[in-house]
Order: sequence, then structure tokens, then C-alpha cells
Amino acid sequence: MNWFEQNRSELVASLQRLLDNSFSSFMSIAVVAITLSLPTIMQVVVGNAERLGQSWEGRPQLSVFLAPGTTESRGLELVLELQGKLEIAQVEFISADQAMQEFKMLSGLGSAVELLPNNPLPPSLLVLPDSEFVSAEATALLRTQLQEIPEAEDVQLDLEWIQRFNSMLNIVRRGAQIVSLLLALTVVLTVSNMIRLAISNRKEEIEIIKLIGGSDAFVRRPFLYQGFLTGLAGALLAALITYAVLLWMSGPIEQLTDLYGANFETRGLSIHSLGWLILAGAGLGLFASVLSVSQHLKNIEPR
Amino acid sequence: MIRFVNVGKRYPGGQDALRKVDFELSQSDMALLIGVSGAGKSTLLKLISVIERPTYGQIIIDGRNLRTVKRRDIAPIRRQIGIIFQDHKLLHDRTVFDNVALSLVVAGISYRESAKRVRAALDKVGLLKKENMMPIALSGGEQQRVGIARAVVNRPAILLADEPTGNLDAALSDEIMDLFLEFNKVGTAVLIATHDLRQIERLQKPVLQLDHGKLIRNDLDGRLTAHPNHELV
Ligand SMILES: Nc1ncnc2c1ncn2[C@@H]1O[C@H](COP(=O)(O)OP(=O)(O)OP(=O)(O)O)[C@@H](O)[C@H]1O
Ligand SMILES: [Mg+2]
Repeated sequence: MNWFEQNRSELVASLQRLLDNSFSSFMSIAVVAITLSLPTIMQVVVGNAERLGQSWEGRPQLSVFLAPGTTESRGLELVLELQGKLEIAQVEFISADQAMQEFKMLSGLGSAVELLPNNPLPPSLLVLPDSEFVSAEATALLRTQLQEIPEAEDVQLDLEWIQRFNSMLNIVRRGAQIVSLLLALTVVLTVSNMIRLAISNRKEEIEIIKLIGGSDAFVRRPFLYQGFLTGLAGALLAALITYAVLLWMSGPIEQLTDLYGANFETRGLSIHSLGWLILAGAGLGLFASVLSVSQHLKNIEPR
Repeated sequence: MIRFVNVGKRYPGGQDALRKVDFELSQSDMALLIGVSGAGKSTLLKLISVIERPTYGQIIIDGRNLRTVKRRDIAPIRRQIGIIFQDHKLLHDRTVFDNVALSLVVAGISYRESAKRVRAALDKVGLLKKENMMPIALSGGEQQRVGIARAVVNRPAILLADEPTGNLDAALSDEIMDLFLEFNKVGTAVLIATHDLRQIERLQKPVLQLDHGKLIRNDLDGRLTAHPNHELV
């Protein structure tokens, strides 16, 4: 029997054994799956949040609020003046009336606002920097320049909260990495404990196999397969759990992202991540069984 | 085949289980190992199957010294040896066929080749009809024969048996012993530890007798190392 044949028949035998002890096997696989699905879901969520942040980051905006009395013609003059600047891609003048119209629409207060004696909203300029000048420094510089417009009362940079969002995301990402590491350790402990139990359950069989001339490698192999298969099955189940959870969460998440960017689409578990998940599951399972086998098998010798 | 040169074994914390044992068993030999309980019979067999290592002296099988053999070389040596136990040591989660096939599986022999050889071995011990039964459904004598089939199926050079007839009645014991005779006739060296002194008369085979770890009778050398009328048992 060649190496391949031997491994194939061992693989079949290990699968058979997993199925024979279906309940306890399933429990271990389920624990591995749940443990693996948590970091996977976190990864998908963080990935989407990153993309959301990037889609904002690409287009910072500056709002220049002008003195209340600023006329429309003065506003258009400023538009022309600013459009000549290299750093600026687009400038739009929003008169007090336009601002009021928008406010009515967005606030839903409708004609109730008309009860006000006069329009409290200031006219403003909406400035979009050129794509070459979107770094934090460039936009900060542009902001001070805009503050020098005589009519400018306040300049607000919409980027600040995006930066805040991104730095928070950094913390979350770090946290997710640490949690993933701990959960990977949990998978290793779960599988190696399961293998330890399997070894002690089959102590007699191991002794007999050694007595009739089974090599250490022969004795070791089924346990390595068992760890590998448990990790693999756990990863596949984790992928299912992840899909289910994301499906369940997708409605509310899309509602949220619709508020911020019309063309933002959430992404589920990518093929790439799925590949990593399966690799990680099978790899951790195999690693755990190698650990367990090297620790517990050498103590079992025929007497 | 097997040569013991001044072999001693002392278990940790115990007294000497074997002292200065010398003998040589050749390929065509079949010998009976006797002695009172605690004389060291099982210990001697365990040394040959590398379950234990000698404290001093040399045990040579096929030019290899078992005292110093490396851990990874033990399995190939054991595949040269068929071992039969009083308590059979069968696996109760698989059929008679699979128990016997295990010897070939560990030797990496293909399933197609295995099936032929397993059936031949089961036929030899008269259990071909029961190949699909579980060991638990067999009588003690039948289980012992499954153990023998498993020991011989890979055509070992040496057969070791530790009280193979310990639990069997006289007729069954004779049957089992006759099986060993047959394997010996086709060129397998056989060493049987037994309390069944009737077999000494019946088989007319050389005797090795142990007493307190000392070899006091060695018919293989054609001479006695102690008093000829030393009490047996
Ligand atoms: N693992 C062990 N640890 C310590 N002492 C042992 C061990 N195995 C055997 N002995 C001792 O070695 C001596 C020889 O034991 P052994 O089992 O070889 O005797 P035996 O001839 O096979 O006896 P029996 O006929 O009862 O099977 C005994 O004194 C026994 O107590
Ligand atoms: Mg004994």
C-alpha cells in the first residue's frame, strides 16, 4: 500500500470515526465553529466600516458660514474668486433662502418654519477641495485661508469627525486582533483537549497496535486527521454562521449606510476571507492535535 | 534467531526478575518456557518483544541488539514477531476479520492483498465462517484462535505465546498447541510460556525452565544447567 493509499484510507477511517461519535464530534465542531465565527464576523464588520470611512475620506467638505447680510451677488463673487484657487475643485453658494428650503425638507418641519419672523440661517459657501489636497494638513491650511474671507464667520471642516471615526476604528481593529488571537488559542485548547480525550479513550487500542508492530507515525496519524477534520468542519460551519448573522444584520446596516452615502454597498464574507477562515480552522486543528499527540501519545506503551 | 547472552532484568524498585540468562533459539526451534509463578517467564517474553529492556547482557535478534535498539526501530522488529496473549488482547469494536487484518494494516499491506491473507489465516485456525462476527460473540478458545491468526497473518519469523492455554480445557489446549506445532513445521520459531506441564510430555519439545529468574534447565543446548530431577512447575 503506497503512502497516498494509506493516507486516503486513514482519512476515510477518521471521517468514519467522527461520524460514529457524531454527538461528541459535533459538540467539538460546534465549539470550534462558534469560536471561529466571532472573529470572522468582526472582520467583516470592521472591513465594511473601513470602506465606509474611506468613501468619506475621499471627499472632505468645508462649510464657510457667511455674515447674515451677505448678498447673493457678493456670494457669487466669492465663488468666482475661490474657484480660481488650485486647491479647490468646486464651490457652491448656498443663500439663506436655499438653506431654509433644505432645512425645511430635511427637518420635516415644513411650513411650521415659516412662522419664524425672519430667516435665522446664514448664507454659506460649500467648498470641495481638489483630490490632490485632501490630506489633513492640506485641508487644515485651506481652512485658515477660508477664515480670512472678510464675510466668513465660521469655517467647519467635515473631516474631523471622519478622522475621529477612523481612529476609533483603529482601536476596534486592534481589539479585534487581540480577541481573534485569544479565540484562536481557544480553538487550539478545545481541539487538543478533544484529542487528549480521544487518545485516552483508545488507550487499549493504541497499546495493542504498538504491540503488533504499529509505528509511532501510524498510531499518530488518525489523531492528526481527527484534529484537522474537526478544524476544517468547524471553519465551514463558522462560515455558515457568519453568512446567517450577516444576513440577519444586513437590513439595519443598510439603513444606516444609506444615511451616509447613497452608493455605499455592504460586503459579506469574501472568497478571500473564506479561504483564510478554512485555512485557519484546519491549520489550528492540525496544530492542536500535533500538540496533544506529542504530549499524550508517548506515555502509552504496552506493558 | 534469538540469542540471550548473560541477560539480567531488574524492575525499578524490585528484585531481579531474570539473572544471567543464556540460551539460543534457532529458526526451526519450538520450545516451552516453564517455571513457577513469578519465575520470570513473562519478563523473558517481554524482553524479546522489546516491551521491556534488559538491565544487563545482550539480546540479539537478526544481528540487532535489543538493549540498545532505537525507539523508531522497535515497530519493525515487532512486525517480525507474532505475540499471543493469555487475555487475547482483541479489539472489541471491530470484527474478527478486522482484528486479524490489523497486523497487515500496520505493516502497510494493501487491502486486496490483506483480504486474501486474513482469510487464509482464519481458515488455518478454523474460524473462516466467523470472520464477520464481533470477538465478544466468540468463546474463549475461539478468541484465542483469533489472536493466533492475528499473530501469524504477517508471517512472522518468531511466535511468542504467554500462557496461551491458561483458560482453556485440556482438549482445547491440545488443539491450540497443535496449531503452534504446525506453524513451527513451516519454519517459524516458537516460544511458549506455559503452566501446562502435560504438554511437555505430549509435544516432546525442548524445555526452558526458570526459577527465581535463573535458567535452570535448557534443553536447547542439549544439556541441563541444574539438577536433572529438579521439581517442575
Ligand atoms: N512491571 C513490573 N514491575 C516490577 N516488578 C515486576 C514487574 N513485572 C514483573 N515483576 C516481577 O518480576 C518477577 C517475574 O515476573 P513475571 O511476570 O516475569 O513472572 P511469570 O513467570 O510470568 O509469572 P506468572 O506465571 O505468574 O505469569 C516477579 O517477582 C514480579 O513480581
Ligand atoms: Mg507471566
